[in-house]
Amino acid sequence: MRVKLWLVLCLASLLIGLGYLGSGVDGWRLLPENALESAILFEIRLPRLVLAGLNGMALGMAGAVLQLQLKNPLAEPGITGIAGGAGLATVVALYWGGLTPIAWSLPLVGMLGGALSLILLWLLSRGQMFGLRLILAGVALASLTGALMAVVLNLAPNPFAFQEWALWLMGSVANRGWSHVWLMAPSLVLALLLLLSQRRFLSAQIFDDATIATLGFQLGWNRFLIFAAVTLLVSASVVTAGIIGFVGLLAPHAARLLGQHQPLPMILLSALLGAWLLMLMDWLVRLIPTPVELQLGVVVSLIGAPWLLILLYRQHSAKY
Amino acid sequence: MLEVSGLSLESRVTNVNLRLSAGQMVGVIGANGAGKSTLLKLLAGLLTPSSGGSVWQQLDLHHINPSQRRQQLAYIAQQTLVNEAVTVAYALQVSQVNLAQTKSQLRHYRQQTSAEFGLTELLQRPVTDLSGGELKRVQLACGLIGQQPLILADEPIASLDLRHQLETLMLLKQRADNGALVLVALHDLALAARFCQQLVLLHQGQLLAVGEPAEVLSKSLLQQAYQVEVEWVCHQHGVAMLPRLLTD
Repeated sequence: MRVKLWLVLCLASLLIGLGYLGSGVDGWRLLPENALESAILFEIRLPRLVLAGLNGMALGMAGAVLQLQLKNPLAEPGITGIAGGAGLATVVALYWGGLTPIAWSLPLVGMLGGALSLILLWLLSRGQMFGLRLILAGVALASLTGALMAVVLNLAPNPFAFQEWALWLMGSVANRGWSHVWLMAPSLVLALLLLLSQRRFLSAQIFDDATIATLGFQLGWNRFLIFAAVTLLVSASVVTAGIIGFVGLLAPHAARLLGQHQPLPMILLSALLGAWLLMLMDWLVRLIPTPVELQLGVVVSLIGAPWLLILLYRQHSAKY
Repeated sequence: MLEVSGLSLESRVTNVNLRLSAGQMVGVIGANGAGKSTLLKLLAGLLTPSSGGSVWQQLDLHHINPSQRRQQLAYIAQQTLVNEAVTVAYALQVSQVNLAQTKSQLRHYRQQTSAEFGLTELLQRPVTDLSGGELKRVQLACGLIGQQPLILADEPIASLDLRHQLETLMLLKQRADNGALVLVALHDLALAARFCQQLVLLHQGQLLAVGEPAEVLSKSLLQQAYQVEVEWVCHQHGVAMLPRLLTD
């Protein structure tokens, strides 16, 4: 059953890749035949596909790590307030508008917003980056940043700016280029290295916090590094693609439903499933005929939520 | 040798002084809320004392680094929750994290502990499929797998059937016979008397008595600690305890 599922996933991935990357302007072709088709393939579609994949990886990984760390199957990047912090900082920067001359300044501000949220989380949880206090602090921070984003949108100087910012916040990988990929990739690699350096601590997350505290870890430092990795993943995702919800919740559950429960393999499978999911959804975004292209974040939630319900329904007797 | 001097945490534990030598099993007894779990958590480094301290083999237990503490001390919580549906074998392997031992030694400990706790047949089962008693045995095995010289077990036989209660206490006793100091919080006074060389009786966070079971389990001390009248009855199979409420 599991082998068949993997074959289906691989085949679907291949089809997505082919369907996505087809370069023909007047019909599908795998390889470009002229400069225009080459530009479409290599400058528009390929970076979009790669960015969708990297974003899915980041969110899938962040979601799995958060669910393990917080011992809560409902945890996802959105509840930590980190995505909200990065989003708010970006929207505020857009409002003031003085940052556009330097290409890297806007993403940098977004990343700093995410980092600021992490520091606030650390302070609000009194340095104890675990348990209910952290979850409540994260939910409060997410609500606050959400409200402040609404204030900034409300104060948008004109309807066009409002529409642009609102659409950006819904999450999308359309009209992105290689610069976004180069911004995303190092954050992903750095976060992965951080998580790998904490592999023992992550494995120990199968136990409750009191037990983990007796297993010889420098708890505060270990937890801070894990959250630093999550901040990198989530902030990089927000500054390159806006706020895409649900992947961080869905991917770890899908990994568990595929039978992977050991923390490290589960995190990696969740990353792969996140990438696959987001690439598939972005392909659908392009396929669905609508007057205005739908935002990726909207489609992910529209399709992901029923999919999770179906998976859960079919697994009604299984415990995980 | 474990030396506890003036150990306090607000009103939960007040001015506890103990001197316990290695190679024995010590029962920590007392009514609910007497401070048994708090005392063990303080010694395990899970809580920070407001005053006083504890020294184990010349190591200050409250200022020792986590890695050193890990090599010296095993703590078994009242209830360990395993949050993912991993196999028993995986849970045992992860519970050996940060132990300064060679791989072959760790493998040997895993095999030995699995056999001791009757887990050999369960190794490939997900922990979420186990019964309450089986899960408790996994929890105990995870706690004792490191072979540390100081063992703190907080009500390790709660939710175990009679056979597994006895087996667990025998295993803890065996660790003590092999040179470890085992501090075990217990509610069953008859079992405490049978398995422990010394008992520590706590009452409202204070040390009421410490000594051999025959001294500590006296009528007057038990009446003060538990608010019950206790009668010890000798019969052909041994000694039984008959508690009565003071209002009876």
